[in-house]
Amino acid sequence: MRVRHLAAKAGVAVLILFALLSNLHGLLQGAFDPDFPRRDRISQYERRFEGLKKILPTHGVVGYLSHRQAQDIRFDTETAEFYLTQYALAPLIVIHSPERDLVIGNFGASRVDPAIFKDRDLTLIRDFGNGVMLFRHKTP
Amino acid sequence: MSLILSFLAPPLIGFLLISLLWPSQGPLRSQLVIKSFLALGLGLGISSCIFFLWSVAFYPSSAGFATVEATLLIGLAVIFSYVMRTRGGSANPPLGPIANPRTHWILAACFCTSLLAAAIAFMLSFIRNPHGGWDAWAIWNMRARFIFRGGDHWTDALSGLLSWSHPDYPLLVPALVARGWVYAGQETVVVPALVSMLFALATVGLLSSSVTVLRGKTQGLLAGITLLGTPLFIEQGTSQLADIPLSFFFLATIALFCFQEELAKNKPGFLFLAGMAAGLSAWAKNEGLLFLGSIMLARLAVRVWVREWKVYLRQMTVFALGLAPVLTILLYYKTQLVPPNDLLSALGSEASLARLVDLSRYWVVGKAFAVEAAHFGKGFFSGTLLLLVYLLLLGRNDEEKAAREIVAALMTLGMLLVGYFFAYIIIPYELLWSLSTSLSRLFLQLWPSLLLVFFLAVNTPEQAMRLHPSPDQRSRA
Repeated sequence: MRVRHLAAKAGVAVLILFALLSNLHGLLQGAFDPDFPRRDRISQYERRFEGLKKILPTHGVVGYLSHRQAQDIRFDTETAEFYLTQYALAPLIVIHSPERDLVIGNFGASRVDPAIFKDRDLTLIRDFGNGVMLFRHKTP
Repeated sequence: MSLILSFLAPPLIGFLLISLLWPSQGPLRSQLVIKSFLALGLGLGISSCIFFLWSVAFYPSSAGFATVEATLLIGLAVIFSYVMRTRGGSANPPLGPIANPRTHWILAACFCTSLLAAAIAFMLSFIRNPHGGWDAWAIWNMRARFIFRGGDHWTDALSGLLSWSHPDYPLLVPALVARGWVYAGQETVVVPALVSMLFALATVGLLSSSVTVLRGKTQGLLAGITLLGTPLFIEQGTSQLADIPLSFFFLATIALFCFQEELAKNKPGFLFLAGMAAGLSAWAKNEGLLFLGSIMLARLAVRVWVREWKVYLRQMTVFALGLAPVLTILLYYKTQLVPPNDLLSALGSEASLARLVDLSRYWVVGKAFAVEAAHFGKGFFSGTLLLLVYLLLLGRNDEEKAAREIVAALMTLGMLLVGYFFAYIIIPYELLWSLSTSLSRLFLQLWPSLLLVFFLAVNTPEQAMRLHPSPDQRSRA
């Protein structure tokens, strides 16, 4: 009987102990994150598009061009730039294709070879720096 | 100021509606805590639906929405004050016994410590990721931006051109976020973070207060501590996704059915609210539709087993009345505004049939489910193991009181798991990637409901100690 009584107390103690330890573990992980407090990367990324947003239409569909092919875009952090562009430019719909009247170029820090847009019949309207460009399709 | 008001209106609307439908003929303070947490989640859900209807009728940021909510609030308050005047007497059910006040205070202190830790974790996460987790900004908050920024083109958010963002996903969270921005008059990352935090708080509060009402204060606090101690719950609660709101509505539906059985068998108020909560789960995520089917089937099976067809039909009629308004909104949304669901579109195709007969997929998915079940919770916290140890040490509650509700709830959760399993079997995306990015969240959707069922089914510490009195207690006796 005494053992069972102790077992009940032990059950409660185990449950509380694990829960509190898990809280403490979570807090320590958060507080001692070497990256903390890092700059908010999404807001930083969005700022690259501030100039572009001013001259784009308020709604509709625009194309998208980058060094990465459409079939290589996955829903993961490696290829986040396409999704971040859509997030930044909503309510415009951004589709991963140069076959639109207006096409956004998003090339990050890498050097842009003019062939990448000339081969696709695109004319550069404006280079906003940081690898952000706006093109117009020559043949509507 | 307007932002604060925007977050005060939904719980007030919810509270008034719940108090009007609450079967207990008690005063305002009757079961105040449980009503408040229920009101928080249900009120947010109702406001999301109203905002959606407003957006369809006019457009999201058109002037006048606040007037609509204020009118509803005032109307409910008038009816409420009239009804309260006609009600009398207190009908609070007695709470279960407390082992001793010292134990109760220790548990209350632990609960508050866990709550404080969760609040700090929330702040840290918000500073680190103000836009939320991946799915939050790529799906939910992006859609909220379309709604808020889009004017009369807000439905572009639901365009098939954005198929990667699953445009058919329901709008509970995006509509709530856009609604907050409309009130604030600007976009601020505080709104989605607050929505996320309020649903997490409502889930913990509802779980703890439901178990308290049904099994006593000690058990209620233990349930709350366990949920707050689940690292994945805290992580997802701060990620601004729709999984925690969904888990709230699952929990609310199951808890309300339990209240119906234990507190107010012959009064339909709880069933109506359960229907509303189930409907709002489908307005939160597509999994809610599976939940809806599962809970109706599970309850049918239990009632058929005990030959209570008529009771089932009577209960489901009231449940359907609560469900109907939200389901009508959802039907309109699904049939008129959005492209077909990618998973359902794949059903019946040759590729999905091939996946259905591919036994290796069953092995991969089965293994992933087993591993997730064994290690659920994240980090060193294994929820399943912890509950098993607790069950072994305290024993199962043999009282028949809630046995039927426990079986119905377990069957519902079991059916949901089977549904999730087959969704992975036919999913048209890379299987391992899909499992690694979503399985733990699917388990988390069920976790608060499972904790409710668990703490109803297991002995309370008081019961365990009364069943096995200590030598001191025996000598005193």
